[in-house]
Amino acid sequence: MRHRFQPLVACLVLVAVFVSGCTNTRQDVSLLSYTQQTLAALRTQGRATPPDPRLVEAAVSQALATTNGALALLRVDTNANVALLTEIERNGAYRTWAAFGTAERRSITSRAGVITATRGLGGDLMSSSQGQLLELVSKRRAGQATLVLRHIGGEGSTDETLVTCTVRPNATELYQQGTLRQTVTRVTASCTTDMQQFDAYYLVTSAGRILEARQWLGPLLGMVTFQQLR
Amino acid sequence: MRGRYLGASTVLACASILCPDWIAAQNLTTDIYNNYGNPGGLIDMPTAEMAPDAEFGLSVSGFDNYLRTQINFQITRRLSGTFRYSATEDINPSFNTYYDRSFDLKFRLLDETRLRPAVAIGLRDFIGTGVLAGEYIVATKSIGPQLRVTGGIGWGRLGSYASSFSTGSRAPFSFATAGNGGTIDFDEWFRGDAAFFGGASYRVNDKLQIAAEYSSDNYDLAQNAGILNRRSPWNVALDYKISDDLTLRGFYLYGSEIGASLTLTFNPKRPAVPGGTGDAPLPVAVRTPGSAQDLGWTTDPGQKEATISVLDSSLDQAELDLEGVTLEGRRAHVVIRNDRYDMSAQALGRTLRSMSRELPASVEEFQVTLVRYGMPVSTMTFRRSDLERLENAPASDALALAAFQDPLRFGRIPDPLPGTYPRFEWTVGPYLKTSFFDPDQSVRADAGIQLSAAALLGRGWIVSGAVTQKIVGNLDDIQRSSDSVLPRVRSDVALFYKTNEPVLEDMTVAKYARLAPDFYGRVTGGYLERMYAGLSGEVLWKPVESRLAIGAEVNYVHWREFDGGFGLRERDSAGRTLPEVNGHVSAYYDFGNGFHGQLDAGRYLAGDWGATISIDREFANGWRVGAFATKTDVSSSDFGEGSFDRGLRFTVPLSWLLGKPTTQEARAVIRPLTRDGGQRVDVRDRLYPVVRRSHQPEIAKSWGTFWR
Repeated sequence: MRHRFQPLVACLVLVAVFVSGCTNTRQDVSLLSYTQQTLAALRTQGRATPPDPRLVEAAVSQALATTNGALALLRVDTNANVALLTEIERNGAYRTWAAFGTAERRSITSRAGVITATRGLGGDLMSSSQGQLLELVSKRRAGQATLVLRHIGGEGSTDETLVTCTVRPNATELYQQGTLRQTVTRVTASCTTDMQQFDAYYLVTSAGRILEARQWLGPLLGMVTFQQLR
Repeated sequence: MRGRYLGASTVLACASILCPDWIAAQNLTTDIYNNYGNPGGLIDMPTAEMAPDAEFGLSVSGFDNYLRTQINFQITRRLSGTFRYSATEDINPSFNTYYDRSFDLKFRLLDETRLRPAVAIGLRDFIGTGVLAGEYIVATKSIGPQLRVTGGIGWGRLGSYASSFSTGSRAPFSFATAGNGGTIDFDEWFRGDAAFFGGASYRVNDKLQIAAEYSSDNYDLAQNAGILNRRSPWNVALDYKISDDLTLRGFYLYGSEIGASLTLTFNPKRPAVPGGTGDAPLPVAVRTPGSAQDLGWTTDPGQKEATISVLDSSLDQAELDLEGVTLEGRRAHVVIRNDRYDMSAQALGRTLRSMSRELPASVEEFQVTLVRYGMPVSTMTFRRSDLERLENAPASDALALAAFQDPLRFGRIPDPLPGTYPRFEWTVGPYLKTSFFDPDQSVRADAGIQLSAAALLGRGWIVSGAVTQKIVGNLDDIQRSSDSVLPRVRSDVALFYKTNEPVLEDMTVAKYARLAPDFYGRVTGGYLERMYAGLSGEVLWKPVESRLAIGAEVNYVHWREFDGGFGLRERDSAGRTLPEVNGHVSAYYDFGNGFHGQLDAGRYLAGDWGATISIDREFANGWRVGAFATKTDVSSSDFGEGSFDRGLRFTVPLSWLLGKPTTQEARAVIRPLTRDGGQRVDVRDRLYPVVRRSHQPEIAKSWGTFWR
C-alpha cells in the first residue's frame, strides 16, 4: 500500500503503446496529463507547511456569514492541508460533506461527528463500522471497542482492517471553533491494527455531541482531525 | 486535499522494523534477483527463495563478454518464470555476438518451517537452444532475519564443475547440434553429471545485502572459447537498494570477472494509488418518507422528459453516456455506455447514484443495462430502498442484492435516445512500433503520428479506421529476408516497414449484434489489419453469470500490398499461395483463482491446422500476464527456427499507473521470433473481451469499487 510513481515502468508502458494525444472520446488520458500529474506530485513532495492560520480563520468567518448550513474543518496530517467543508447530503445518521465554495469533487462522510468514509482523496476509506466506539465516546465511558475500516485493495476488491481501541475519558477543556464555545471532555482512544499503532481522541460535549475527532483513516490517508464549526 | 502518500509508506516501513516476525512470515521471499534474473540472493546459483506473489523483476546483468536482459514473473506464490535475452561475445565462432532467448521455471516444493528449509526444483533454459540448460533441486534456510543459507544439487551446466555423481547420460551441448530450439528434451532433465553447490546471503541493513557462493557451473563453452578464465569456484556479490523498487548489484566471479546488474521490480497488485484519486461520486439521495406514494408525475409527459434530461446531465457529469431510458411509475430502466471506468462496478454504482438523485420518488426498481459496441450485454436490477440503506455498508452487502441477467431474457430494451447515433469519434496521438531480437540489432523502432476515427452508426454498426505517418525510425533497416518454406503470412514483416508514406493500418465496417439470449455475433469486413484485408465473422456463446464461453470464427483473407495503401497483392506470392479461409473454434474459461485459460483449434493463416493454448494470470484491476503456444501440422523443420510459435503477452491498465479511471490499456506480445506457422489474422475487437468485461464474474471481482 505504497504510493509510488514508477517512472521506469511508466516509460515502458507509455512508450510501448499508443497513448492518445487528443481525442473527443472519454479516454482522454494522455502522456501530457500523466506528465503534469507526475510533476505536480514531485513539486508537493517534501512540502508539508500548513496554511496560514489567519487565512483559515478568515475563510471560516466568511463561510459562517454566507451560509446557515453545517460547516466543519478537516485537517490532514500527511500533507498539512486544511479544508473547509459544508454538508451536502444526509442519509440517516450519515452526513456527506464537500469543500465549501469550490467545485472540487472530493467528499467525506461522517456519523455523529466522526469520519466514516472518504471519496476522491486517494486511498479512500470506503466504509467503516465504528458503532462500539461511538457508543463509548458519546457517553464518555471507558472500555474496549473494535472498529472495521474498509479500503479498496490493489485489485479493486475490499480490504478490511480490524482496529482495536482502548477508550478512556480525560479532563474537560474549552472548545472554541466557529460559532461554538463549549466545555468538552477529551476522550482518548489508544488503537492498534496488525501493522500500526495510533492515538485518537474525541472532544465530546456533556450532551454527547462530538465536536472534534482526531482519527486514523487508513495507510495512505493517515491521521486527520475533523472539527465542527457550528 | 490530495494527500502526499509517501508519509504513509514511511509509517509502514517503521511498523515492519518494529515487528521482526513480519520478515519471517513472508516465507523466504526476496526482492533480490541473481545473474540469471531468478529471484534469489546468490549470484550464478539458484536458491529456494521466491519473489512476492505477482512481482515482476526486470534485470540487466553484465560482465566481460556477457550481457543478459531478463524478466521474471512470480506466477503463483510457489512458481516463478523467467524470460531471458542474452548476448555473448566471441563464444560461437559463427557470430561476433551470439544472441539467445531462453525460459526458466522454478517451483517451491516445500515451504520453510522452523526447522526445515524451503525446497525448490528448477529448470533453466528448458525450451530454447539449451546453451544455458541446467536443472536443480535446492534448499534454503533462514537463520534469524538476516542470514539465509542455501545448498543444492545441479545437473547440466549446474553439474559441470566438480561433479560428484552421475544419473544416466546426457549429450553435451554443442552449437552444431543445438538445432532450431523449441524442443523440450524431457529425457535429458536431471540426467548426466551432478554436482553440489551452495552459498549464503546476509542482509546487513535495509539498503545492503552481501552474498557468497560456491558455483558448480564450469562455464565449459566460455573456457573453451577463451573468454572466461575460471580460477576459482567462489563468487561474491554486494546488493544496494537504491529505492524500494530499484537494486544495484556488483559482483566478482570465478576469481577473474567483475560485473554489475540493475533490477527494477513492480507488482500488478500495487497500483499507484489503491482505489485511485478519481473524483468523488455524487452521494445517494434518500427519499423523504411517504414520498414514494406520489405517482402524479406519470400523467405529465413534460415532467417525464424533464426528468430524463436531468438524469442525462447527471450521468454526463459522472462521465457516463445515457443511450436509452424507460421510465414508469415504479420502475426505471437505463441503457448506459461506459467509456470511462475500467471497473464496471464503479460505472454501475455511479449510474445508480445519479438515478437516486434525479428520478421521481415513486420509482423503486432500478435497472441498468450496459451496452458495448451497440450490444446490450448485461442488465443489473437493484432496489432503490436497498441503495439508500446500504450506502454506508460494506460493498459485499450490495453485491448480494444485485441481480444480473441477460438483457435479452429480461424483456424490452429501451430504444436509443435521439442524438445517440450517429456518433463520430477521433483520436490523434503518437505511436510506436518495435522489433526485438533481430540478431543484427536487437531493438528497432519506428515512431510517428496516428489518426484513428470511428463512426458509430447505431445498433452495432461501426465504421472505423486508422492511418499512421512515420516520423523517425529504423525498422526499414531490417535486412533479414524470409527463408520460410510456408506461405509468408508473417515472416516478411520487414517489407511492410519499407515506406515513408502514410500507412492505412486498418479500415473496416463492423456489425455487432445479439443473435439470441447468451449469443453474440460480429462481422468485420475491409482492411482488417496491416497485412490482410478480408471478411471476418464470429459467434460467441457466453451466459451472463458463466465463467465459460465458447466461440467460433471464420475469416476470408487476402494479402494487402506492402506499402500500406489500398492495393491487394496476388494470392500467389513468392511462389506460395495464401489459403483463402482460416478460422477457429475457441473455448475460454475463467478458473476463478486468478487464472484464465483459452484453447483455440482450427486452421491458421498459412493453411496449417492445429491448436493454441493460452494461460493468463489475471488481476481484477485489469493486469494480465500470459503465455501461449501453438502447435500445428507444420513440421519443426518446415517451421524453421523455434520449431513452433509461442510467446508471452501482457496487458497493463493505464488506471493502475495513473490512479484515475480509464478504460485504456497497454498491450504487448513478446515472441522469441515470428515465423509463418500457427499465425492468426489480427481482427480488432473480437467478441470475448468486449462482452466479458460487463458480465457478472468480472464485475464481482472488483466490486469494492461499486461505491467508489
